[in-house]
Amino acid sequence: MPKSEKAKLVGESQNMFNNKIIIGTVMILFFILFSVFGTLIGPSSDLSQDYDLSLKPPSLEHPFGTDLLGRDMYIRAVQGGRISLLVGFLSIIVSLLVGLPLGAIAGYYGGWIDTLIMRSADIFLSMPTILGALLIMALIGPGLINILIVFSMLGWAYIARLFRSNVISIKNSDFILSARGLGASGPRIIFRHIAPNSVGPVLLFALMNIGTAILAESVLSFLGVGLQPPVVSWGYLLSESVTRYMVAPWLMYFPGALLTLTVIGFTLIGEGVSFVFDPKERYE
Amino acid sequence: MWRYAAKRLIETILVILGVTFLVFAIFHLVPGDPITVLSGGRTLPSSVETNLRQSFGLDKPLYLQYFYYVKNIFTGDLGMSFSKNRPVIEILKETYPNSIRLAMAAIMIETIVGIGVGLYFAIRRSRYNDAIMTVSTSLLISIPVFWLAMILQQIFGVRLKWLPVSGMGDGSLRYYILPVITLSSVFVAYVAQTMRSNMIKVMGEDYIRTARASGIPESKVIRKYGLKNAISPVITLIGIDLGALMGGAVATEVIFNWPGIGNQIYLAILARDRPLVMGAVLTLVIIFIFINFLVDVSYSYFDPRIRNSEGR
Amino acid sequence: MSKPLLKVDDLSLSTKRGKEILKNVSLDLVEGGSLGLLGSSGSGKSTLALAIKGLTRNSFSMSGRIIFNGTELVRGKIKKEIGMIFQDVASSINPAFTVYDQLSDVISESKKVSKADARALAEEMLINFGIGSSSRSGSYPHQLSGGMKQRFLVAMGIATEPSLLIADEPSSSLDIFASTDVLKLIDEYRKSSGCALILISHDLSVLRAMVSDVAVMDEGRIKETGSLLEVIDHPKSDAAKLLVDSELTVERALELRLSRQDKQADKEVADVKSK
Repeated sequence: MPKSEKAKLVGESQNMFNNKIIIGTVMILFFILFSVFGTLIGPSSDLSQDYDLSLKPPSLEHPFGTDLLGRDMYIRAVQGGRISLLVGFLSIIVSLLVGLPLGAIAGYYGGWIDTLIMRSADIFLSMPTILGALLIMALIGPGLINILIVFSMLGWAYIARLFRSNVISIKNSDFILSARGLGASGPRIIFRHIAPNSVGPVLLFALMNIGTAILAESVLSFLGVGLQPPVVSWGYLLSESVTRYMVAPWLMYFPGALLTLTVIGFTLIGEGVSFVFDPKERYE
Repeated sequence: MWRYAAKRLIETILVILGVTFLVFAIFHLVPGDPITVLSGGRTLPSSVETNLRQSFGLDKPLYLQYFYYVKNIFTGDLGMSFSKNRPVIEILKETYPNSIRLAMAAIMIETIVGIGVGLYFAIRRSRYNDAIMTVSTSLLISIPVFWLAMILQQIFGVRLKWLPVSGMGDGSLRYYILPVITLSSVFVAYVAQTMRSNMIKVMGEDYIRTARASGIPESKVIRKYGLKNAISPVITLIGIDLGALMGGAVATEVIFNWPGIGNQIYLAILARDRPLVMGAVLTLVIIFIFINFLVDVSYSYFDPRIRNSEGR
Repeated sequence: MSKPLLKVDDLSLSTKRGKEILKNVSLDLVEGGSLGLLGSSGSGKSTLALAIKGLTRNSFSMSGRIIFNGTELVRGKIKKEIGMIFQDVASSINPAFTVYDQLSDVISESKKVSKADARALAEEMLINFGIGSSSRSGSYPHQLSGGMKQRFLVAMGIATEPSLLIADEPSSSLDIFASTDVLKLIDEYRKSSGCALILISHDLSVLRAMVSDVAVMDEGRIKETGSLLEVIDHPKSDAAKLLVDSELTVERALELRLSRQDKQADKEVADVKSK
C-alpha cells in the first residue's frame, strides 16, 4: 500500500481513553480505595483472635469468613491489599531508580561503560523472574526490604535498556548539541535536557509492569519466601489457605479473586495503552 | 546460520558464567560466613564442615574460590543436600524428569491450542470474535497460576471428584490433566494473542498481496506464506515459555503435589536446605538460558535476514 | 471498433471514512493496446491499478463497474489473465522464501504443472531475467540488488502469462541502466505475448518509450486522455500541463508557484535571487 496511506491510518485519532484503559483504571482505583478505606466500611474493624470463631464461612458479620485464629478475613484482605499494592508500586519505583540512571549513563557516555552496563543487563535479563527471585531470596532471606532489592535487581535491566535506546536517539539531536556548545556538563545535560524527553515511554512501560510485580510478589509470598507476618499480602493469605481450603475454601476465594481482578486491571491498562501506540488492529 | 549460532553460543556461555558470578557474589556479600549461609543455620558435624571448606576452597583467595565454584557446577558437583543427606545432583536427577514431562505436555497443549486459536481468530474476524479473544486472553494472563490451580483443584477434584488432585500417581494421563491445564493457561493466551496479531499484521503486508495477485489460492497463501512469516515470534514465545514453565511450575507442582523439581525447591526452602535450593534453581536458570539460545538460533531459520546482521 | 479488452465504467472508490480516492473514473483499453497512467503522487493511479486487479481493501466502498474480456470483475476474485507488477520492491517480496520458491509456486499454480517442472521453469525464467545462476540456488530477496528485485517482480507479474499487464512505477526506484533493463523485459513480454499494458509512471520519458496512449490523473479523477503524443504536445487540462512540463528548473517552478500567488514562494524567490 502506498506509504501515504499507511501514515494516515496510524496518525488517525488515537483514542486516549479507549475502553480498556477506562475499565482498567476504574478497577485499579476501586481496589486502591478498597485497600485504603476498606476497614472503615466493614462491619467490624478489629483483628481480634477468637478461637470460637475459627474457620467460619462468610456471614453478615464476617463477609469474607474467618481464618484459623478467628480473625476476620475481610479486614485481613483489606490489609493484604494495602501491602500487595504498595509492594507493587514500590518495586517499580525502585527498578526505575536503578534502571533510569544506569540506562542514561550507558546511553550517553557509550564506550566501555555502555558495554559493561549492557552486558550486566543481559545477565539479569536472562533469568526468569521467579527463578531469579527464588535464587536470591534463598540466599538473603525473606522480607519486604529483600523483596524490593530482588525486584529491582531483576527489573532494572529492561528499564535501563529501553531508556538507553531513547537516550541514544536523542543525544545527537540539535538541541542537545547546542546545550553542549554552551558548555553544559554531562550530568546536567542528562537531567535537564535528555531525560524529560525520553523518559515518557519508559515510565509508561514501568506502569504497565506493576501488575507483574504484584503477581510476582504474591507467588513468592505464597511459597513462603516473600513477605512474612506481620507484613501480610494477598499472596501470603493464599499461602495460609493451602492446607485448609478443603474445609474453608473462602480463605482462598476472596484473596485470590481480589488479586486476580487487580492484576486484570493493570493488564487492561497496559493493553489499552499499547493499543494507542500501535493500532495495527485498526486495519480492517 | 552456523556462524550466527557460534556467535550466540559464545554469548550464551558468557551469560551463564555471568549468572554464576552473580550468585557467587551474592553468596559472599551476604553477612555471615559462607558456610553458615550454606548450612542455613544448622550446626554441621565438623567433618562435613571441613569437607565443605575444602571443596569450596574457602581458605584460598576469592578468584580461586570462584574457579572451584564454577568447576564444581560444571562437573556436576552441586554439594550435599542437608535435609536428605544425599548429593544434590542425585536428587535432581530423580526429580527433573517429572517436571520435564509436565513441561512437555504443557508446551504441546500451548502450541496446538494457542496457534490454532490464534489462527482462527486472525482469519475469522468480527466484533464478537475480537471481543471474546480480548476478554479471555486478558483474563488468562492475569490469573495467578497458583490460584487457578487451587480453583481447578477445588472444582474438579474435590467437588466434582472427576480428576485426581495430588501427585503423579501411576503416571497415567488423568494425573496430568489438571496440572497441565494450570501450567499452560497463561501462555496459551500469550501464544494465541501473538499468533493472531502477528498473523493479522502479516496478512496485511504487501508481499502477501503479491502472492494473492499471482493467483495463489488463499488457503495456500495463509498456510505457506502467512504462517511462516507470522510464526517466528510465536516460536520465540514458546521457547521463552519452556524456561518460564520450569520456574512457574513451582507453585503448580506444590499445589498438585507433583514430584518435580519445583516441588523439590519448595520443600528445600522450607527445610532451609540451601545447597539443594541453589543447585536446583541454578541448574534451572542455566537450562533456561540455553533454551533461549536455541530459540534464538532457530529464529534465524524463519527469518533469513537475521543470519547476516549484527546484534539483536 | 474492436470490443475493448478492459472497460472501466464510472468507477468511484472511497474509504470507510468517506474519503474519496477515485471519482468517476472511466477508461477503455483494447487488446494489445497500451495505456500510460500519468499523475503526481496521491492522484489515485496505484489505487486504480489495484482496483482493476481486484485487490482493493474490503473496507473501501466501490461504485461503478470494471469489465474485463466481457465479464464484470468482482473485487476479491483474482483473474490470472491480469498480471501486476508492484511498485514497492522492498515490501512486495516475501523475505522468508527464496525467489525460486516464490516463483515456482506461481508457475505451478497457474500452469498446473508438477512442482519439479515448475521449479525448472522458474529457474529458467530467473536466469533469463538475470537473477539466477547455478551458484545462487538459494537466493533470498534480501540478497538481491534493487534492480534484481524489480526484475523479479516483473517475473512474478508475467508468470501467469496474462493478457493484461499492469506495471506500477516499475522503474522509479532504479538508476537509468537498471530501469532500462526492467522496461526491456516488459517490452519483450509484450511483443511475444501481444498483451495489453497499463503502465503507471510519473516519468514522461518512460511513457514515451513504452505506451501509445495516456490518461492523466489528478485527485482521483481522469483529467485528460488521448494518444501520448497528442497530450504531450497539446496538453489541455491544467494537470496535464503541469506534468508535461517535465523539464522543470527551479526558477520555472518558483515562477509557477508565484503565479498561484503563493506568499511563501515570494520569499523563496527573493532568497534564491539574493544568493
